[in-house]
Amino acid sequence: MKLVSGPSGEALSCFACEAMRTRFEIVLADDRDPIFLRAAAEQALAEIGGVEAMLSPYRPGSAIAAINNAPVETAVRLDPVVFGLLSQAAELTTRLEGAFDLSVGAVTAAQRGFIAAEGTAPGASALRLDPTAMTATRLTASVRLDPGAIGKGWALERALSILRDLGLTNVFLHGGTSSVRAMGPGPVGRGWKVALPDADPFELVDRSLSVSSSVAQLFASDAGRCSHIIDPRTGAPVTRPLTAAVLHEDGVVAEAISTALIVLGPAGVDLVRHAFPSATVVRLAPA
Amino acid sequence: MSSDSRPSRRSFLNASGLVLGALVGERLARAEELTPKSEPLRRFSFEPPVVPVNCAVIGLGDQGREILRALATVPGAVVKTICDTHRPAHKRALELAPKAKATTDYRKILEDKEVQAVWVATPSHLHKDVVLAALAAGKHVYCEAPLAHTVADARAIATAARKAPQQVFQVGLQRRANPLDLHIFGLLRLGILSRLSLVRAQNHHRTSWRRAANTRERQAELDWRLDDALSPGLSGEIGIHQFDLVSWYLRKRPVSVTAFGGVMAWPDGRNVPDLIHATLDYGDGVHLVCSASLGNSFGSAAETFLGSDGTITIQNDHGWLIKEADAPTQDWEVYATREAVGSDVGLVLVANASRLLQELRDPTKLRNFDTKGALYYACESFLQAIRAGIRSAADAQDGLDATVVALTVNEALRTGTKIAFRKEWFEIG
Repeated sequence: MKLVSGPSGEALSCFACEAMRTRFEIVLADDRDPIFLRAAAEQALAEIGGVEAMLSPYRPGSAIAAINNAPVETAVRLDPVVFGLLSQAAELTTRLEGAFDLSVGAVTAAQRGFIAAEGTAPGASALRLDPTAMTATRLTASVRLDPGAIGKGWALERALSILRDLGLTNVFLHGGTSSVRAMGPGPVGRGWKVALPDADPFELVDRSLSVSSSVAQLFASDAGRCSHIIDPRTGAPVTRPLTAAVLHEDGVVAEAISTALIVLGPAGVDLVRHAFPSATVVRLAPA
Repeated sequence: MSSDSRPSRRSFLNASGLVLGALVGERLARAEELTPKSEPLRRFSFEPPVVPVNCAVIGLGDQGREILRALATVPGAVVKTICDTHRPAHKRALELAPKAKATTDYRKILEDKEVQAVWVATPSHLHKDVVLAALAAGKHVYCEAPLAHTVADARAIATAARKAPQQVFQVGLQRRANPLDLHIFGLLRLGILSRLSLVRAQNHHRTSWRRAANTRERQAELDWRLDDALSPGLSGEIGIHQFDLVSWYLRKRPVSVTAFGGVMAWPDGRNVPDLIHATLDYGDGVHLVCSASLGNSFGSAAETFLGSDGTITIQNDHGWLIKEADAPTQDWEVYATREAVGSDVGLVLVANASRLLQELRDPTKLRNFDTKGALYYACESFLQAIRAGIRSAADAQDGLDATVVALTVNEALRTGTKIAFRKEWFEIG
C-alpha cells in the first residue's frame, strides 16, 4: 500500500497489481483501519486477476482461449459470468452497427505476431451464443475473440462491485490510465479529478472514462504505419490518427463506444448520441 | 543435441504427419495442412451424453466460487443448491449458479434426497462436522484440502469416508487429476530422470492473506487463516498441494521434516508465519526443499525435480524437461519443441500430445490452451468416479497423508525441532 495526500492533504490509500499487460491501481479515500482497506483492495485486485484468467486469449485455461482454440462448429461451455459478458458484447456490436466487435481478435493478434493473418474480419454473426446451453461456437475459422477492448472496463466494474459491497463508497480505479472508474465524491467532495492530454482537468463522479487512440499501438504494414484497432466491418486497420474519450456509467459500454468511435470517426458521434443517450463523448480529435 | 540439429517446427509437423498418416490410413498430410489455422476438417459439435449428477456446494468463499465456476462447465454437473452461513456470500455465488437454490443451513442440503454429491469448501476447521454429516446422509463427498486443521479431525474424516465404501470420497488434492501432472507422473515412473536426488518447490505470493468484512465479528470469522488455533498455516493451505505432488510422484511418505520461518512481511499482530522454509527427507537421499511466503511473488508457484539424467520443472501448468548432456535420448524427444528455461533449454512437456495430433491440432501451440485448470479436472473426475462407482482421484488415505505432512511441517516450524514421521500417524482408524 502507498499512502498519498489528496489536494488538501487528505490521506489516500493506493494499491496496485499487474494484469492484462498493464498496471491496475485502486485509490481509496477512506479513513478506516488500514488493515481493512488493504484487505478490501486485495479482494478487488484479486478479482481483476480473475478477470484476466477468464478473458486472456493467451492464458491457459481461459474461457476465451478455449473458444479460440476449439475446432470450428464445436460448442464451448462457458460459465454464466463470461457468457454474460459475451452476450453484452454482442448487443453492443449491434447497437454500434458493427463498429465494435470482439471477434476481430484474429487480425489484431496477427499484427502482433501471435498467429497468421486470416484475411477479412469475420463479423459477429460468425460466433453463435446459445443462452440455454450456455455455449459459444465459432462458425468460421477466422473468428478469434480478443476482449482487450472491454476487458479492462469489465475488470474495473467487477472490482468496484466488491469494494461497494464492503461499504467503500469513495473509490478511484484505473487500468493503465486509459480505463478509469470513479465512485463517490472524491477526496475533497467535488469528484475525482482527471485530465486528458492538453486539456483542462475535469471531475469524474460515479462514471467510467474510457480513452482509445489509434496511435497508442502502431505496427508497420505495406500500407505504412497502421493502428492496432481494426474496423470490424472491413478487417482493415484504422489509418486516421484519432483519440476518443467517452464517459458512461458502465465501463464496458464506455470502452466499446470509445473503440467504435476510432473506427467510425466524427460520423459516429450521432450514432452514439442516439444509441447511448447517457454517454458523453468528451473528446474525438486527431491524436 | 546441439541447437543446430534441433528439428524445426515444420519438420516436427512433417514428422507428426507421418505418424498420423500411418495411424489413420490417410494420405500423408503436409505440414501446412496440419496447422490449426487451416482447419482442413470441418467438425460437428458432439458431446457424448453424460448421466447428470445433482450437486451442492457448501462454503462460498473464494474456493467455493471457483468450484462453482468449474462445475458450470463440467458436463453433467447440475448445481441444485449452494450454502453459506453468511447470506451476502450468496450473491456472487449465484452469478455462477443462477439456477441453484441458496441456503444458510447445510443440513437442508443433506436432507434433500435429490442432491447426490456435496463439495465442502468451508474453512478447514469446519470441515469435520459437515463431512461427517454428509457421509452419514449418504452423499458422495468432495472435501477441500487439507482435510482439517488437526490430525484428529482429519483422521475422523478419513475413517468415516472409509466406512462408507459405497460413497465416493475425494479430497481436493486437485493435481492428481490434472493432465499435465499425470503426464509427468508417467514420465517419472518411466525413470526419465533416472536417480532422483532433490525436489524444490516454492509457493510465493504478495498478499496480506486477510479478508475484509463490514463488521468486526465477520472480519474475525474470515481471518481464520491468521488464527493459529484454527489455521493450518501456509503449509496446510497452499503447501499441501506440493507435499502431496511429491509424495504421489515418489510413491512414498517423508521420513522427517525440519522447518523455520516466522512473521516477516506482515507484522500486524498475527502469529501465523507468513514465511516458511522446510526440508522434508524422503529417504534414500531424496529431499524436498520448499518455501512459501506472502511477502514476495517472484516465481509464484513451481516445482522442480532434479535427477541424474535431467530435471523436470513445472510452473503455471507448463512443464519442461531439461536433459543432462550425457543422458540417454528418448525417441519422442526428436519431435519435441525446445524452449529457453532460464539459461537452459528445455523440452516442452505436453499432456495428451498424441490425442491432439490425432485431432490435427498442434500440441506445442495448444499446450497453452488445451487445459481447463486442475480444479475442473478434479471436479470432472469426481463425477466420473460417482457414475462409475470407482475410487476417486484422491481418496481418504491420500487426504490423511497430505494433511498429516502439512500439519507436521507446522509443528516442526513451531517447535524448531526435527520431527520424524511415525507410521501410525498415517493410519486410518
